[in-house]
Amino acid sequence: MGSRIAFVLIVVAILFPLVPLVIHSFARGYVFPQLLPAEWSTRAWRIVLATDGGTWNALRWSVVVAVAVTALSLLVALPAGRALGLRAFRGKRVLEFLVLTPLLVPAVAVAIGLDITFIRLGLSGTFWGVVLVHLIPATPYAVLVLAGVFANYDADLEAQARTLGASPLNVFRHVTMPAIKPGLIIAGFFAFIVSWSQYVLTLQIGGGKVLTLPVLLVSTASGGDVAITGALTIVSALPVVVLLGLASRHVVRAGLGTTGT
Amino acid sequence: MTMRVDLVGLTKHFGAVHAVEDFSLTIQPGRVTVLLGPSGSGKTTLLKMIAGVLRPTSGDIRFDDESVIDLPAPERDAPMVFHNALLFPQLSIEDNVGFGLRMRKTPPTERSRRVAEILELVGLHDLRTRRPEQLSGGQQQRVALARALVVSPRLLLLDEPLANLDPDLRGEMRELLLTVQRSVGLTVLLVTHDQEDAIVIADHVALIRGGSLVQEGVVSDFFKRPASAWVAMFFGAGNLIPGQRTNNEVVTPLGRLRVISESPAMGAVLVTIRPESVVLDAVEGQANTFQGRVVAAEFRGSHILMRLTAGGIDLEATIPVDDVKSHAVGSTVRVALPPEKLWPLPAD
Repeated sequence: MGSRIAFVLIVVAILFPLVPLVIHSFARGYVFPQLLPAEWSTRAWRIVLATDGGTWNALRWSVVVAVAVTALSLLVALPAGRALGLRAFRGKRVLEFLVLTPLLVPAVAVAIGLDITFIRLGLSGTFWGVVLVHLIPATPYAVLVLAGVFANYDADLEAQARTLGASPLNVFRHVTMPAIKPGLIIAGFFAFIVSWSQYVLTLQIGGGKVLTLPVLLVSTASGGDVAITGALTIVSALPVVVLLGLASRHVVRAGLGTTGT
Repeated sequence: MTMRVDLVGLTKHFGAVHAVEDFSLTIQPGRVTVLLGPSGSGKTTLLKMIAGVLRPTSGDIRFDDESVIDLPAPERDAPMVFHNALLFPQLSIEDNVGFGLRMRKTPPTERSRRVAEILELVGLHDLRTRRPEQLSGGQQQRVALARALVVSPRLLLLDEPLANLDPDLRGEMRELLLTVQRSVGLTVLLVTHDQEDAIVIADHVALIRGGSLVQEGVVSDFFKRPASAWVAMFFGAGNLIPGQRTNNEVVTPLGRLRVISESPAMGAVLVTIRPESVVLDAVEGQANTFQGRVVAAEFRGSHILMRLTAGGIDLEATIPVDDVKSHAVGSTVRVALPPEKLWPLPAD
């Protein structure tokens, strides 16, 4: 019951800021003293969702980049999180700190330096360049989440399965994967969101060629049309809200999982 | 089905830590060998190396004279039962038990028949559709045992399977284990820190300390002829009397003691005697008698433990609970140490 109330509160907190944007996106001439617009219009939505407009292209860029970033960061975070969570070794604290450093340094501080390097490497203005630069802020989150998962993981379960005749592939399928799945989903969700909301790094490295939703959104917002900006913001935010809804079940389940056997 | 296992100079180092050092032991086919030792003595490390989930630093492991050192764990056919059951949380009880058969690609009909059979044996057939977290610790441990037994292994490795159980459940588990073991003539290696486990179920005992084999043999050997003072104390010998031995005589703070013993220890020795062998109220003409003073008398359920002091040496003796002659604390008693019950050990 308590968890249900909390869930509702979280959903409200996330969705409420979107309400004024929804109103704006359907308004025609919506000025200060008015509580609600005097006139409604679907103009902004028609422009934003137009098949020849930039929205769909930006959405496609955002999805492809975020999916690639998610996959690659999990690929890195799985062994890294396992090592940090399961093993004790000299210099572990230092390594944990180094994993976190990308989160401590603002993106703007390193963006130009990175771009110079990326230009030399021929990665500037390319899809892979943007994916690579998104991995910098995305991977620490994935590593942290998975390190936490593996800290509560009993590796003897794998030894147990092996002595019962399970091949390495079967150990992963039947033992490791079921145990870390909730954590893996959360880690992937973090990586996806970090990539999805990345603006500065995308703009700098993408150089206007990789036009993701945040890039389009900022340039639209500076254009000054509140209705169009509102509609585009909703298009940007909606996928993440839906994903959060799907992942939140796993957050709850992972929370319960650590207290069980 | 039954298989002999030879451990030859098995060694495992974790960095600077020598967990197991030059350990050699033969595990007889179709018998229960108990690997006994205090916690942290390398028992579990040994078991994991035999199971194949930990690679030895050096040494060899032979199953029926064939080295398995390069054989991966899944092919060793030597399932291990861990002290904390380690059931797969997302699988039902019957799927847990059937795991090994599934990995062996046993046809589903045969699989469910064998799973049902073994669950019947361990008395958990009614719980077969439950999840592990719905079972008590004792039930989980029985599932873990069933899961290992169902694959008809060549060798069963048990790591403290009784440690987490209540005393009455422990007795039940021991019996179940022995019943199954006897019925199929399984080779079993059981690891424990509890000498009672060893006494009750072992055909053969190997005592390990600091990663090295200290003594092996049948259980009574450890009581009658311990190899060292540590072994004697581990099995509750209780009394250690320092002295100088020449042939059948030991000069001690308690006087000259006559010993009738096959122990080869000469010179500086520690003489051990079990508390139950110490005689109080010695009669005239008995050998090795001296005056002692009662320091304490502790009720121990099945007996009374008497703490004595004599010649600056602390001694323990047991007397029956209903012994009407029980001695008051502070009183003096005539103590006798029967020569044939004394066992001299090298002093170092």
